[in-house]
Amino acid sequence: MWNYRRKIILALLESEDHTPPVQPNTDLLTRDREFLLPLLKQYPKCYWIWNHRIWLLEQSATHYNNHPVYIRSLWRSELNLVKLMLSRDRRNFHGWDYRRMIVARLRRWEAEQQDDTAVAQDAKKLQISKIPSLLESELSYTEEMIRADLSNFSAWNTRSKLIPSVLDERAASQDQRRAFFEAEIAFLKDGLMLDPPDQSMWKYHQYLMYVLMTAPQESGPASEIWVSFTDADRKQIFAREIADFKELLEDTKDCKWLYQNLLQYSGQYLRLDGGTRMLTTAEMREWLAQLKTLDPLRIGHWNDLGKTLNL
Amino acid sequence: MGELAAKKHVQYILSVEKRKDDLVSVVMEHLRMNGAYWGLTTLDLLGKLDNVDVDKVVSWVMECQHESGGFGGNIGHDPHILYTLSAVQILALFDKLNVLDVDKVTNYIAGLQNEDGSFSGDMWGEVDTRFSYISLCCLSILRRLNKINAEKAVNYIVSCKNLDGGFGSTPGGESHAGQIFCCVGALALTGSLHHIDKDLLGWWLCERQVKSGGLNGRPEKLPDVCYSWWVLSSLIMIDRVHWINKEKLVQYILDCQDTENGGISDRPDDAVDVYHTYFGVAGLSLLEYPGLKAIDPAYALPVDVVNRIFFGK
Repeated sequence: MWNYRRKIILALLESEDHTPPVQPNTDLLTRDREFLLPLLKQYPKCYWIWNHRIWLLEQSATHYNNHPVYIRSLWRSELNLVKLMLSRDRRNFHGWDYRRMIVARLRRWEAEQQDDTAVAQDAKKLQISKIPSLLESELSYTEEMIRADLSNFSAWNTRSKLIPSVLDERAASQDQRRAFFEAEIAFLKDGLMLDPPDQSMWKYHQYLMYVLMTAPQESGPASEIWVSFTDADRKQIFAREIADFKELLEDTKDCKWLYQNLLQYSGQYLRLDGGTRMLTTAEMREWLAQLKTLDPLRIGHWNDLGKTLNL
Repeated sequence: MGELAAKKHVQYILSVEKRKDDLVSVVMEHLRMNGAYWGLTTLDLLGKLDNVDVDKVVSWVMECQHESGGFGGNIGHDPHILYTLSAVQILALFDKLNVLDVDKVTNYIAGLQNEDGSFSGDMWGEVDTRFSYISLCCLSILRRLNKINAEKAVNYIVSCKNLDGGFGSTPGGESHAGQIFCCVGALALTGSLHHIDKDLLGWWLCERQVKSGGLNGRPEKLPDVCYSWWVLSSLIMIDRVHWINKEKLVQYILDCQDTENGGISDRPDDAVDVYHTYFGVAGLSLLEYPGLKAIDPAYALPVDVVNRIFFGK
């Protein structure tokens, strides 16, 4: 049915004016987008509706290709729609995926504009100083969503994907990256202290620390937050996180994520400093025993983890 | 502990097939090809495929083929890769792959591969890792993997990997159990499982089991019988199935049965449908439930069917 609709629209478009509508709602593509809106609200998880919407946007980009300003403002205004949809269901991954598609396209156009001519480049420079970067505003958006709901894993996930690009765009030095990394850990830990049982935040903590689980490098793939740390840096950060979590343990006895992260980071720390007195085998065995008691469903997993850590 | 109401489920599936005019059939009409695959595979796992008129099914399937080589969800419907895989799987179930013009189907699928290695679902261009799995699975069954750029296809899937070890629908997409099955399956079919951090992904997957024993598709979501397939098959493919409690999962699936009229639902006491009946029975098959044929976790076909395709047994 959607395919028929698309064929009809393509046929009708042939007789449509290529000048963007002055009045809203007078052109075919806008009308069809408006037709979709109530449907999306009613069936927010329907692949076909989201799919048709992005197709309509693509058609607008082709049909009005001589009017880049119109097209861009059209695509940019879609971010408001996604915002609306995500305020109704914060975890709707169709909405998050759609948002990422829009942002990716807008960024591509920005990059193309940058490459155009020296004149355009001057214009671009002026624009940057006026309009905040799309990536920066997306990063702020994830923060806004997270502050509204700490366990919004979709927002944490999007954030994790945005950070490396934001840092690249900022042309951040390794020192600035380190500062960003530390600030992110601090932001996260504030949340963890408020709501220890939330698994989204523990996952995100793992994601951040994962960076440190690889060997230090001079430079790395663009997908990393920070790469030029030393073994001393890693040791210090693992030690600090372990100490903080041990402290959290005093008031939080029944959070399995806490025990799991403690064990995992302890394993990493021991690789860097085997002769440490910071950790004892006895306490690690105790954490493992807690995990087995708190989460007997996954006993097989905990047994394997114990074997990996030689406990 | 309850038992699998196998006879009732067979009756249920056969009755759905006959009931062509009611509301369910109308809603399902556009994806009848998928429905047929779910129903027929369930019958085969239950050892009752001989209740079906093979020639009738095969000729209906072939009537759904479009001149492009792809299959539609029903006769006269537009082709889509989703229905093409189901059609090929149904023919494989009946050992009737010989009725296919293999090159024609292969060309349809190969034509949907994009420059970056991804696959579109049909001529309208939607891209998703689901379609990567479908293409690779279909071509593997037809033994034509050499007709696409498999290396690029694998690289695209790897680009959808997240730092929790899982995979999303497109690069940057959040990990989701259904999507993970597609990506792990695609990597398994192409011998590329080394791209997966098995402990990390295994951890994410085993966390999908909730107290009731059922599995959910993402953190903080409700359990659903369909994830007994998506999560379980992925855990098996990466050798981490012992990380969940199998007995409790079996119990959860059995609790979702309609023991009076047959069929399995998403959660206990909900309405049953063919989709969840298939995923429930297939999940039990993966859990080696007695009396069921074994199912292959990557091809989503009974193991004997897969062996017949590749070893001629």
